[in-house]
Amino acid sequence: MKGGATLLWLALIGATAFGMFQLKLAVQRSETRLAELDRELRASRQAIEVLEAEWAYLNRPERLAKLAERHLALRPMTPEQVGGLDRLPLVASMGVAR
Amino acid sequence: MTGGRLDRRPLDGEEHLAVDGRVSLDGTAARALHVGRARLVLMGALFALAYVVVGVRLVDVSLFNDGFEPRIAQAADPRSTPFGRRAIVDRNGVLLATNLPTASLHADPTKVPDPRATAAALARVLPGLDRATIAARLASGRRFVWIKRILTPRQQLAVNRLGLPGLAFQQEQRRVYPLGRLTGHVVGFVDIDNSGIAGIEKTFDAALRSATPVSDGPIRLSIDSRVQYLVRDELAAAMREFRAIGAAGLVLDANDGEVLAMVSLPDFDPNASDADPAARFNRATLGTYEMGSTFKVFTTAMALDAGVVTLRDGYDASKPLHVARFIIRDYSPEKRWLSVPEILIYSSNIGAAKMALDVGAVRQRDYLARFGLLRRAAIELPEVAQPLLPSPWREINTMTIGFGHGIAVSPLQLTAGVAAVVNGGIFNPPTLIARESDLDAGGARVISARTSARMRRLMERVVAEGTGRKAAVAGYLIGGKTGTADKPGRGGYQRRAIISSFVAAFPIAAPRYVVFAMLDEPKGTKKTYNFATGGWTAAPLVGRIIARLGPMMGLPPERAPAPAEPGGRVIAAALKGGGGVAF
Repeated sequence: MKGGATLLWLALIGATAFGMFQLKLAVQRSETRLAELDRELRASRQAIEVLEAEWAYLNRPERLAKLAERHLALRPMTPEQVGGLDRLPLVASMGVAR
Repeated sequence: MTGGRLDRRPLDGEEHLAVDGRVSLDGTAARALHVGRARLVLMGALFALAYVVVGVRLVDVSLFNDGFEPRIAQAADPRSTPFGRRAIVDRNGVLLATNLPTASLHADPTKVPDPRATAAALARVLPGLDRATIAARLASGRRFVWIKRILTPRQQLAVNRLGLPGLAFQQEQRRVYPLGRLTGHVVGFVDIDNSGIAGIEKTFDAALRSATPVSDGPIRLSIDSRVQYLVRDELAAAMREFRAIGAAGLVLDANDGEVLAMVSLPDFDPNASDADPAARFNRATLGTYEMGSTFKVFTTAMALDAGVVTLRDGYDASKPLHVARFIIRDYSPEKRWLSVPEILIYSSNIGAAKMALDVGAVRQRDYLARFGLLRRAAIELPEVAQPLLPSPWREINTMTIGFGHGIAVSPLQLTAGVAAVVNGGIFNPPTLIARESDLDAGGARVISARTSARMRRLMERVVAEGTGRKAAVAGYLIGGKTGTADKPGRGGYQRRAIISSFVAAFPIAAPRYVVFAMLDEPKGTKKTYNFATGGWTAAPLVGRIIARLGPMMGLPPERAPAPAEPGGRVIAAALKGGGGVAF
């Protein structure tokens, strides 16, 4: 009877130790992954910041104006070119879906 | 003594067998045993207590606390900037200031096997590097030498590709301003340690440094980089045309005081550390100028608001006014009685001086103070000038201030004051920070809404029939006022050096924007018949700015387009204009 109890306790201790180590390893793996993801996140964010700076640099108004002048047949808008829907003539006869 | 039982005293330390068979002790031995037992119990209790403590702590640690491990894994805050200093963006989110990670190349010479070959290889990929200096540095035997500070990513890659031993990179940050000189005066710049030393960078230095995850978004300015660009573009063109030594331009939201554009020319590139100190001078806020006739807007507004005059009253402007040793004349004299509207429309100094005198010095000061003209502008920049006021404020000062002389204010103060005149009479302190809504502007009433409506009509007539005719824009009704002032020089006013300005509000029926442009020492051209006054130089400039600003802001043209010069630039552009693209 006494020997049985001892065996039971020993088995419990063994099981607990095994479980603990498994858990510890799992946590370690998760932690490594977390650190990795954090690093990736930081790197991506840095990359985004750099790309945003480049985007702003490439979108400098004076550069866009020069490029538009060279490649497009567009000009700065004049007041006459701004209007609302209410200024459009009605084309009721054509039955255009609104 | 009889009875057969020897009754003797027990000897010290002698054992007795008690009735129950246990040994009982007396005397010294018994006492010693008691002490020993008591000690045992005490020790046992202490050990038991220690075990209980350990047990409780064990349960506490394993079940209730989880040690140093956080219960919930936290992802890094997505809003936090990876490198410290916060970004600055314009009202539309365009980056005005940000950080770039840069690498600096250094070396450990003790680990460099062949200094000459290494230097030669480095000189090939890093232009501008002197091979001999680097070779000498690498052969120095020290443990740390800089090779080159702040490499471009491409250079870093090239150095990495060489695969040379003993070289290493150090990560550094550099503040960059993608739009360069466009917002140099507003955003300011930082020193080598990334602390702000000018502009918004200085004002908000502490806020920009603290990269706390909570308040970590970029600082959003009220500046619109598109408007900023077009104002700068037109100012630069006008500056070239009239060979001016400087220029300033402002666009304010008329209803909440937001500054949409603030340009001062000449300007500088905040990315370059060696900017010309003269170019760093912000004429829009740090420069104070006698604004001249634009001040007549304030004089007329206060006279009407205080009930000193009505629109039907007028003053005799037939001959120059002699006050003490001064003579007040008109620039283009009408030589007759002028009504109050005519005084503003034809910009009569004599009429304005007389009107100011009727308002009186006390009331004049009071109104000017409420228009924000007597104190430094409460703008979020360190470069703000104190206005120059007369002291003491005599009668002659009251008269000259009536037409904008004898008081020097910054262009920003003037523009914010005019905004208060036209927007219904509410003065909003100008700001460079984007407001969440018009409601938190916190303005204070200066003149009544009725006076403001009258002033709008008067300013509209200045453009329609007065000195500001050249500001007329096809499609929009605008109201404005010209200003021309002699620059004060040594011992009085200079004849040739003038400040020409124009301030306009549009659409004048319900103003959304107040536009100001100023040219410093413009010279007349053949096209302007050698005139360099506000009406000839600054007024058409403001007209061109409005012609580009209106469509950009999606303002539809008004029913009755203001008459423009036939063959003028605006009409010509409209006729040629095909599609539309707004810059």
